Amino acid sequence: MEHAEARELLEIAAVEPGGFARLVAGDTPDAAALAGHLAGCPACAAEMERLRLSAVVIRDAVRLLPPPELREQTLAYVAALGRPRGPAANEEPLVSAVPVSSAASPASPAEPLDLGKARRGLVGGVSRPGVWVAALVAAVVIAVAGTAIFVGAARDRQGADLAEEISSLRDVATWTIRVDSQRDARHVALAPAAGGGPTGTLIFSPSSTDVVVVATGLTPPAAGQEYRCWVETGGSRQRVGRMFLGADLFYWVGRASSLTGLGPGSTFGISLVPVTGESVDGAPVLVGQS
Amino acid sequence: MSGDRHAQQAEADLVREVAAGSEDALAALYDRHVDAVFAAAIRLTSDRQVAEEVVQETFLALWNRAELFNPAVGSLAAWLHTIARNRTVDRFRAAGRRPSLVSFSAASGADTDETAALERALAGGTVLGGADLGPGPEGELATTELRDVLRGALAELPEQERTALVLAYSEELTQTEIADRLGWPLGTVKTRTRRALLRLREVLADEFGPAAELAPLPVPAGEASDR
Repeated sequence: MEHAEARELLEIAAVEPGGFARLVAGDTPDAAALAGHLAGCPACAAEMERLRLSAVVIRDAVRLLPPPELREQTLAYVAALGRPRGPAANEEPLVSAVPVSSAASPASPAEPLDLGKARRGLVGGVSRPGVWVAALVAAVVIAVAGTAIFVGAARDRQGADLAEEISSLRDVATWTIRVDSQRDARHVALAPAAGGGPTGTLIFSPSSTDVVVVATGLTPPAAGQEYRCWVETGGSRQRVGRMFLGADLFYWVGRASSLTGLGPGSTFGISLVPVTGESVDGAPVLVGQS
Repeated sequence: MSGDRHAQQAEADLVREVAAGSEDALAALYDRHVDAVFAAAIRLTSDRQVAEEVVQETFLALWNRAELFNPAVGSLAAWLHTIARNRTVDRFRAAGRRPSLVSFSAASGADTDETAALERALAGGTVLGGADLGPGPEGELATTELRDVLRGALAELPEQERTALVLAYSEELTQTEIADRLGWPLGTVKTRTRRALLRLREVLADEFGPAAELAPLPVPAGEASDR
């Protein structure tokens, strides 16, 4: 093995997960050849040690650095969900304040949500649907939390379940801001495939494959069934994700490799399918096109 | 010391401006503190997505509670660090999990080579207790300086080289996975990643000096005596 070839193997090992461990294990032809080379080449052996140490330092530094796009996402997140300040503090709040009381008062419904006021959700002077969805979900979170604090023992909801719901809704709000702030974000309205009340919306980015799917009005699935979101590519359905239930909202947030580089005009849907297996072939309940 | 006091006063002024509704002040504080906040989160979770969300929640908390910050009690950095740490732990609690935090000796197992043990642990996302570069303020300063140096060097890399290296190290992608993700030929990915690594090694070598033995060694002339 030539020195240049050995150096290339070492440098690639330095950037691949577990690269050096595989080389040291010596159970591939390349690893065996390299071991033979290093045994007779102190310079390359020394270079390997330098590379290993450098890689540790550089990897740790790179991993600890936030991505540049996080800045815009964070500022947009605060703009959408932060409390009104300055002149905006004089506007009516997006959500009517729900007073907190430690007394076990009878159930008192939260005041109606007022979404008619333009507030900090406006970005660049244009109302962005994703930001409104996030604001809506945030309002639901506040309302749910406030009501639960009010009614306390009067309801049979456990504290852990409530925390789970709030966490779910917070995830939806966070991811909506995250995806919607991406330059190639696309919105898809999901409509009932066979009439009825359910509706949904989907936001995704073909470059990052980040996606948020939200649906309301779906009948809770029977035991052994669940809702799954899918996208149709090349004539076949690819799974996007399982729909989780949080405070009467079915949702999926995350990344889906099936969305990589997806072009316009793709069909998305949500179907009720058996829990076992990976099928997304059920009749669509909701469907839409990007 | 007067320089520190001046910096602290300037920072307290920015927080007051945030309380008054200044988004520019918030952005300025983000630029100053995001590295430390992100690092605090990712050291506990090793999940970049969670760490990014914790960053967002931390600065939202700063915006919502700016009036509660009292510079006489502590620094803004410490305040934000506490919020970030609590948010990260909250997520683990909500998921019914615990942060994966182990001691270096536990992570290294039977390895006698500390470097191999360290890289294996880091590649696996294990958070190592006591992984500071050094104790006390000098260690913190060294960590901050190193991070600043490498951040600057990363920013100066050609974009394609930086992209390849960041995907390799931050998302733990193989060269083949990077090629698939970006639509580049595999050979191109390897070339760009190697170039990026070489540039950063040279920066590290300049920073730490020859005694640290980090600089790339020249390729020897002639053939090795392979066994």
